[in-house]
Amino acid sequence: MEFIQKKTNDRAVEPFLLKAEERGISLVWDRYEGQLPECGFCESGLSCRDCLQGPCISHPFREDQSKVGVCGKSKDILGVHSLLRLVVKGTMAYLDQVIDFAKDIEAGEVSPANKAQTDEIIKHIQGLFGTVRPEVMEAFPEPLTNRWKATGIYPEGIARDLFKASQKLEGGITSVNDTLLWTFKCSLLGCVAHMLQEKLKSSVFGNAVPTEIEVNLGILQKEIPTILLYGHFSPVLKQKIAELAEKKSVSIMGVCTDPLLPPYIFAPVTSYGSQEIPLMTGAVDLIVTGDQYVNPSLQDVAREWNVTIVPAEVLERAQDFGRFAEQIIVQAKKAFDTRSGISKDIPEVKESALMGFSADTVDMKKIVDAINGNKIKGIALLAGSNNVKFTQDHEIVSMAQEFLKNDVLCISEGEASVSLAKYGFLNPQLEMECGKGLSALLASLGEDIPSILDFGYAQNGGVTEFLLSLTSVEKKEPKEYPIVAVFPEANRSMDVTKAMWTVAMGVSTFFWPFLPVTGSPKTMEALTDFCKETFGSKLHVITGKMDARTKSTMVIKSLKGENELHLDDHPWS
Amino acid sequence: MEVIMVDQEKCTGCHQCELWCANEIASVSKELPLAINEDPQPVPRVYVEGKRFALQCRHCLDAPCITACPNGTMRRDPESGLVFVNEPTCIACWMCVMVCPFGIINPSSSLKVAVKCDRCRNMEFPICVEVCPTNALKLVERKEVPEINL
Amino acid sequence: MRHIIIGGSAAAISAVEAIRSVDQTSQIDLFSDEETPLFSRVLLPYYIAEELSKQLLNFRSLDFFDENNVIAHLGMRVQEISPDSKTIRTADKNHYEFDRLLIATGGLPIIPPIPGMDKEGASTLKTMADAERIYNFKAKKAVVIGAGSVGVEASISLKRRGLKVSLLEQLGQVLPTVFDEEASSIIRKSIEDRGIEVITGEKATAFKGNSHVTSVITATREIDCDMVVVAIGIRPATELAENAGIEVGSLKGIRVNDQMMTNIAGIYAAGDVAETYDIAHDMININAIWPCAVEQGHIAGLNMAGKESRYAGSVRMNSIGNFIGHPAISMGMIRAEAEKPGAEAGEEFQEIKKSTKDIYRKLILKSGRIAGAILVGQTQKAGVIGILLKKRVDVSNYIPILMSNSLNFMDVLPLIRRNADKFKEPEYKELMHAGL
Repeated sequence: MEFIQKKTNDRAVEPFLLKAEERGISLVWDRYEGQLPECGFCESGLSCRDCLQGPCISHPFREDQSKVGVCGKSKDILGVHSLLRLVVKGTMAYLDQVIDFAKDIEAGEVSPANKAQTDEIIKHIQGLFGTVRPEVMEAFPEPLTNRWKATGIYPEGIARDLFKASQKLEGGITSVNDTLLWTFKCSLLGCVAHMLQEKLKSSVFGNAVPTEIEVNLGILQKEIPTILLYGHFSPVLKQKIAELAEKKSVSIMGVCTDPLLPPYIFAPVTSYGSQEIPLMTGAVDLIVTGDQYVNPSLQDVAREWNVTIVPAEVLERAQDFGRFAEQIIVQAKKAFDTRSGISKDIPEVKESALMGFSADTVDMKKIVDAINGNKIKGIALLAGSNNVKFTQDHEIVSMAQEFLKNDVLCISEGEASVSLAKYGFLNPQLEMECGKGLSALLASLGEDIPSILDFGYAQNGGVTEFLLSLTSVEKKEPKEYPIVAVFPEANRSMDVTKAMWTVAMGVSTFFWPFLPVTGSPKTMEALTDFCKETFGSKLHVITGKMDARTKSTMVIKSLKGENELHLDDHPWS
Repeated sequence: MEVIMVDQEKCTGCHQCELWCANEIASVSKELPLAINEDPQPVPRVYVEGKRFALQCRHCLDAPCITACPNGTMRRDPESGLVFVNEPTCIACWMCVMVCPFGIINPSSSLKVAVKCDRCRNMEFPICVEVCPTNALKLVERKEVPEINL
Repeated sequence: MRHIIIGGSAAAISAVEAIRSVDQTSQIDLFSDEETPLFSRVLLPYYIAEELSKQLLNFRSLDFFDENNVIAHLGMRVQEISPDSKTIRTADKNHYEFDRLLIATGGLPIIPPIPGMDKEGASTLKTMADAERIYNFKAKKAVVIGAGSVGVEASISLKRRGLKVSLLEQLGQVLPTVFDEEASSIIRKSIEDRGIEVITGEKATAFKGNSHVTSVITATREIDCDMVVVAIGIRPATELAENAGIEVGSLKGIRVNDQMMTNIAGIYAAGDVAETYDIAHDMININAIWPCAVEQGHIAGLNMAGKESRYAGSVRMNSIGNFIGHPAISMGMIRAEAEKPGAEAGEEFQEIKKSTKDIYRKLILKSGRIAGAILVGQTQKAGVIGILLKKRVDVSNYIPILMSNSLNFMDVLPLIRRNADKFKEPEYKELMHAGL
């Protein structure tokens, strides 16, 4: 049982913590501490609420009949089900986003940049809901798809990959490894969905190019009406709002939302963990909210500062996005006037970031050569967002620093990028301390290359594209390269799903905080041994308390192939 | 003497007291993911059985377990009045188990000693009381009653 | 007030503590005929098995006598009690006066009139001296005569020492005064699984050998051995009392009232030597077990110190713990026979048994109250049954709960609440308010 002593690394956020306490406003950190200790059974994956004969637990410390759920789910099945449940939700999230987007395009809300391609991709997306089209899978190297076919986890469509996988939670006679394979299968559908979303975005809005953005609270403006877009909702609606906002001199920024929708930018004002803070600056007049990534607590903070909330994902969906956007702008302007008396407290903290690299804007061959020539130790794919269980941003920043120093090329995405951006890692003008080999590689990639390359928003398949593009240079597959994925501060079910498909693609993944499977020795074993055998990669469940430096050392060691990381505490990792 | 009382209306039978007692007191590693897989399995000293009520050693004023123990393993701490097992001398004869009216002594065949709550004698505060999510468990001063004859 | 205590084991030490809880100043002289102080007889088999060193046999620290201001005369046998002059005479011809006397002389091992009993290699197991003798024997094959608690534990101890062991019992089962046939057969199997030969229904008739024993003869066989441990029971050590005119009962133990006083005012008895009221059997009995001795010594001590205390009665309780690897507990009556001579009419016995793969449980009820219980395999909640037995609670409506594997205290709390007048201690009262 512990609570984080230091809440955040972000000096823009820190002063507001005291302010919140003084004004009696509860933030994520207060509620987290109030929840402690969190249920040990659930944390260990030893609980289940899938039916009404429960809720059941597997009691790790008693004998007798309390070790198995009422229906017979053993502690190992309970553990792997805890994982499956998260992946099912995560895959649904990716599917939700891509189908939403496709429907908006189909409805003719926007004219795609490349119509023919768009139509094609929409057909591919429709295929997800029937049978995944073979052309879609051609993006993956054959050894991968063959392996997936051989193990039975090849993506087929929602009927099998999602619905059938979900039924594993309802009962049945099976094994941990089998259930784990279903979990991988389900996650792969999410992978396909998110890649298609990337492609759709490009073909509709045009290819994103690396764009300079300013991030953090300091970018908020007090002189003009300010709208923040929170979480995920229709890119088309976002564009409409941005279009109008430009005309009407309204500032549009974002929190936990895609920063780059060409030609518009939704600059990240803060990262996930501190999403309540922008409202406390007083400079925000209106927020448009999605569901995924959005804290219900925003309501209470908004009330304190008289901020208007407009939910975008409502039962009665706006028929006409243009009209909806107009209404939002009007409301924002009104709110700005009403709120003019409210004092604005905007910290002068901001940072520049070059975001939005993609597979075609980076020379993959140079990277492959650097790997082969041992100029760099390998590549770390940084993902995840913030988790209140860690000091905000601390893990990812510390680990990124170590990786850079040790000649590990870092590729980041989504919220992970936003965290790193706040500290200058994505700023081409700033020289973070990088190893010689890495510096040389970065220099060779272009004029203004930041120390870490952001490959776009997490729900778009930028990083996956990167991976596939890299491996296609030598027609190899990911497991043949020293690449790892690292989630230093993960929290969403979408993160779990992503971790699973990353492993299925042959990239070993480190995930913090540890997945809720620690009560099941068989699941723990399967995530290492069975995955290593099947995919050539492992999903590391690390329970030992260690500081970020130690974590980085561990990751770097694994890149060097110093495998069999000896964590002496358990026999299975 | 302070004893642990349960507010029956607040106990939800969630078993967290058992879980953290085992983890914090009984286990070697004190970290849940490791404690779960320790061998021998850590033994919790509080019981949530059948009813929504966490029961542990009552630290009886006239403790039958101390009477029954043949070699002075079961003792009372003179300062706090708490009854505890001096594990190094326990020979696992289970005489104490036989006489405890509350059935809260665990004859642990894996540990080969009698396992019993000592109200977290060596800690700042009893763990079960600390972790109870609904504050059903409380530390309360025992009301003295006149001495009873055997 | 001068207190004299004859004896140095459970009852005696408990009496010392009781006296001192009330009276820190009066003189206490304690006389024990054993040299080694404060060791627990119960643990002697562990010593023999080399599991406990001698120091760990102590049930109080060695400075107990100093701490409690007791003048301890160890290795000093008391020869005579003179109630009229209120003095005792010791073996070294000294006389000591008393105001209060406690006879806690315990029991003596029964020595069977078997020819050859006096050969080298044959020993009882009661005193420290016995234990050391057995410990130091260089033997390869032992016969233990008597499969009571001491015999069973001795046989297991010797097996652990690497000897070949045969356990010989006259009656038809091991532990005949502790367990019934079913429980006993489970335990017998545990014993045999250790490689100990168990022979029941046979009596030892002679020991053969020259000066040293070489075999034991029964009606049907001859068992080769070079050590014999005789553990066929104890009888109360009442010579001192009898010679002093103190009343001895039909069971040959010293008779006491519920304040542990004998028929002679100021003279008390407690422990294995005393006959007390047996709650489970509802008759006068000798329950020669450690917890009873401690309880009785406590009551005697309080009364000796002037604080009136009454003994509700004793209950026989035996626990075979870790020794045989199969937890087994027995209390009170073993069988639902009217063991009491002239049983009252209308007393209805009920015997409820449950026998599953790993567990045996039996309850004996008499007129709705628990008179006995046997638990083998799953014993953690035995004490819940025990307290209901001791407090004489009518449990007629609770039998399924008591027999259940998931028996726990909270399940019987309503019953305890209904009998609140019997459960006056604060630990029960506190829980009775739990709003179940």
